[in-house]
Amino acid sequence: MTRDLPARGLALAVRALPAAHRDWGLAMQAELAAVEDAAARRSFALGCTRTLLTRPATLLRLAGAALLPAAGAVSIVLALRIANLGVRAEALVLIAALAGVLWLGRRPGVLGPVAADVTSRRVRAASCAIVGALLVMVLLPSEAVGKRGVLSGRVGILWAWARGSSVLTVSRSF
Amino acid sequence: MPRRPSPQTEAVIGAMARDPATWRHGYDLLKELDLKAGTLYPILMRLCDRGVLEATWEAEPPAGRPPRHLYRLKGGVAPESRPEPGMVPAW
Repeated sequence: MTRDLPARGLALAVRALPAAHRDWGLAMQAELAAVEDAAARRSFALGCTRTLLTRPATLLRLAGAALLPAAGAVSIVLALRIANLGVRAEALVLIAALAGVLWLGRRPGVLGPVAADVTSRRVRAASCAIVGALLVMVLLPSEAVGKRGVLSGRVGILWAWARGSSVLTVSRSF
Repeated sequence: MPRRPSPQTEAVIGAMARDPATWRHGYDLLKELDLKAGTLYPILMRLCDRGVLEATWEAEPPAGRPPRHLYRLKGGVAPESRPEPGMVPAW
């Protein structure tokens, strides 16, 4: 199969598809493989890519995937604001450990991706939420809870971590 | 309240209805109807979701190429002999 720019671009869009719509992406890739004219390939791949990336289900999935880096960035900023050097180091190590666990969660193995069904995703999300709660406890000390916005900040980080983790570590073997 | 199908959707159904039992490739339909992929595929997806079309994978693809998707009217029956498909929900 040709691996030119149109094929690569379409392949990226197909990777962004949720499981339920993957067949359509594969169908488009197979169709593209049968198109030989370079201009026709570009036009076909562009149309297919636009179709796939503008589906609401795809946009939701991409948004979910973007939550985790956002939660990570906020966590690092909060960790760097911790005055106590030891606690700050502890928080940064915890963030790094969570990033490592997430990386492992995307690779085959014991901690690898879970199946795309609802139960598996909920179990993974719940376990991620527990770990995320630990992170939030370290980042935001309890005396700050009374301050406006801190509680919602905690909930936000926790939700983003759990949602992003569950989206990113679902099995891609669909 | 059901909406009327778009002219492009009607064109796709019309093209399929000319030979309802025949399985068609997406790219052939695209060329025949002079549609862009970004127009045709959302229509094919909606019509498949709606049960107007059925899709299957090519059983014996040419060597070196992945199997392609094939489409035809559901059951290989023209739409006039089936209930009115009505309008397709957005996806």
